[in-house]
Amino acid sequence: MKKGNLVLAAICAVTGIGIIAVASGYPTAADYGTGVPGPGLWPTVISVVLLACTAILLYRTLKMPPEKNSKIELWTTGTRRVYLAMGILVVYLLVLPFLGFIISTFLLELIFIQWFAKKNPIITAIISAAITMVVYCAFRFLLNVPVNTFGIFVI
Amino acid sequence: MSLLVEIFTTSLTPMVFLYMAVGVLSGICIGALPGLTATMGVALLLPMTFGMDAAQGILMLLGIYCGAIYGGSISAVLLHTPGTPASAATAIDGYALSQRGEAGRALGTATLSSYIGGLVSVACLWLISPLLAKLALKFSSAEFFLLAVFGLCIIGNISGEDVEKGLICGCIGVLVACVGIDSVTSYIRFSPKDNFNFMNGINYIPIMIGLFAMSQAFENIESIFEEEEVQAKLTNILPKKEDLKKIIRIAPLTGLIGTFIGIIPGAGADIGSFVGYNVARSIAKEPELFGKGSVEAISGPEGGNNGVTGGAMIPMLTLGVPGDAVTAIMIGALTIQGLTPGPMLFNTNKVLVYTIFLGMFIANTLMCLFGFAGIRLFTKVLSVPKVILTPAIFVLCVIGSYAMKNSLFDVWVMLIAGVVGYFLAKVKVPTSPAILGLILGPMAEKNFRTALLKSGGSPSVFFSSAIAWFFIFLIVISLFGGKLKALLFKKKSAN
Repeated sequence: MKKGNLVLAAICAVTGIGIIAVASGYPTAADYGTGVPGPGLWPTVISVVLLACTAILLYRTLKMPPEKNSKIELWTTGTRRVYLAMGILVVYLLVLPFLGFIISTFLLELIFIQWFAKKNPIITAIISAAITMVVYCAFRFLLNVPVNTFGIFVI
Repeated sequence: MSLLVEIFTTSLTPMVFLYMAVGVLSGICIGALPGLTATMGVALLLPMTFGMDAAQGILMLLGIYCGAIYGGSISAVLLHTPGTPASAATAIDGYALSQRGEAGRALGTATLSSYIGGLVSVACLWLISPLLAKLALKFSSAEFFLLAVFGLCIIGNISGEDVEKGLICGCIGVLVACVGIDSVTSYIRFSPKDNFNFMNGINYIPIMIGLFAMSQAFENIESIFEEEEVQAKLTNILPKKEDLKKIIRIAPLTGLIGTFIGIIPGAGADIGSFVGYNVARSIAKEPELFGKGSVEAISGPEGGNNGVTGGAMIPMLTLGVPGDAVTAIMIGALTIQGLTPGPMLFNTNKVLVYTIFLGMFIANTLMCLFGFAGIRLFTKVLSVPKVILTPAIFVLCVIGSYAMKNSLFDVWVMLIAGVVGYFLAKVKVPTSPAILGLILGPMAEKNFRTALLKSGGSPSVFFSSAIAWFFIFLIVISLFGGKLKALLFKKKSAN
């Protein structure tokens, strides 16, 4: 948990400082002359709160007794499966504009269900096709969501 | 009377009943499945309401909400695994009864208690909301700013042990909401000048779908091969006379307490459930049975968690402030329909508001009817394999976030939010505060600057009315109340 908290604190500190730096270049109340604070004030105030919370998190983490320091499992069989799934989803989103919704979603379901369920490939293909068509038809025809007829994402 | 006629002739059409029934049924199934929460269900099915009118959409979501909170008790009783966090307290005694072969009795108690809790909350919603809305009409920008700040301060109180982590998440939500064109000066913030996706601001619906549905699906993948079998015979589902007496004594009270917990921005059904459990123990006739399979111990949390549903709707409808994560999503649903939740809604869309009230009552009744009639069927839902369900959730997340603006950018936002939500859960950072930040942040900023614009830049505008001072008092209490209480107790115990 300590390592995780420290990484979180580092990310928040960089974010907070970065936002303050960017917001400091925005117009101020004086530039508008109406008494209204400029667009940079609010993000700056929130970033200061973020930095204050980060400091508290850092302090509490460094003072954390060893018995409270539970280990975060980031490299187990389960988490590796998650990372691979995230990767597959990234590829899926990248190919969506080219293959269209129906083909790419069918392939996505096929890969996941075959991987997880390890069923007969024909049964997997039928289940994948069924899920794809039910979702497509529900959004396209039943709920009148404006989607492209030839695969939702086809350009 | 004429309002009722108008509601039944224009809003509560047979189609709305159908959508509500579908919502309740889907909600019960979603709630029953461990790993799928009420928030996830509402976030996942929200895009389905885009093609509906406001009443149909909101009432379907309400059906999902009520159904899912109740549905969580099914797996809590049968598997000792709460379907939603709101049923964690039910699992204790529900499973103990199930082990004794009385799963039907436990589920019957949960069904009736959930219904009573839901009814009490609907009654409160009906009574309190119009009064609060009338009061809220007197709010100026300064009061709305202080109200939003109070909502943001509450984040600390709902973040459990690590308050700073909840606040960090809330701040990130507020900062994400700052991206795009500033609503007061039209200045473009934190966005490349030629990227319209960023200039329009990052929509919070894909973020919600990512944080609540996608990240949960990722978590499910970790244990995708672990399936639990349900082997319970359900008999005596209808509560007997002695159980009925206990339920009627406990559930209305915990329902009422749950309603008031729901009104507090950010406090959800899980808190209502545990408070309900504690209250039930303190007034139970057989407190010694708690933990060993007590009907009262099931009735308390179930009344409490369903009580929260109506309570959470009160600040959402009257003030535009979400009572919990689910109502935060409902604000999004109303906004998509071109409606702004808040006191003006009671003037401009009175029929819709009262349709929602009546719809909540009907949704709870449907939940009770489906609960008693179809409990054996709902237990079959527990047998749906995760290996097929999880990939289907992925696709629903993708098309759901795409459907709102037909934009792939939103799908990427959803995926990134899902990945971030997964890692935040690893370091035990609660994600609900981010949603509060996303909704309350812009509300606070806009009203802060509008108030200053009206006062010519004088900060005294924030201290100029009794309502403002009331909110300042609430803010101070929410920030330092816990510490003051701890200090007082320390002094007392030292004496």
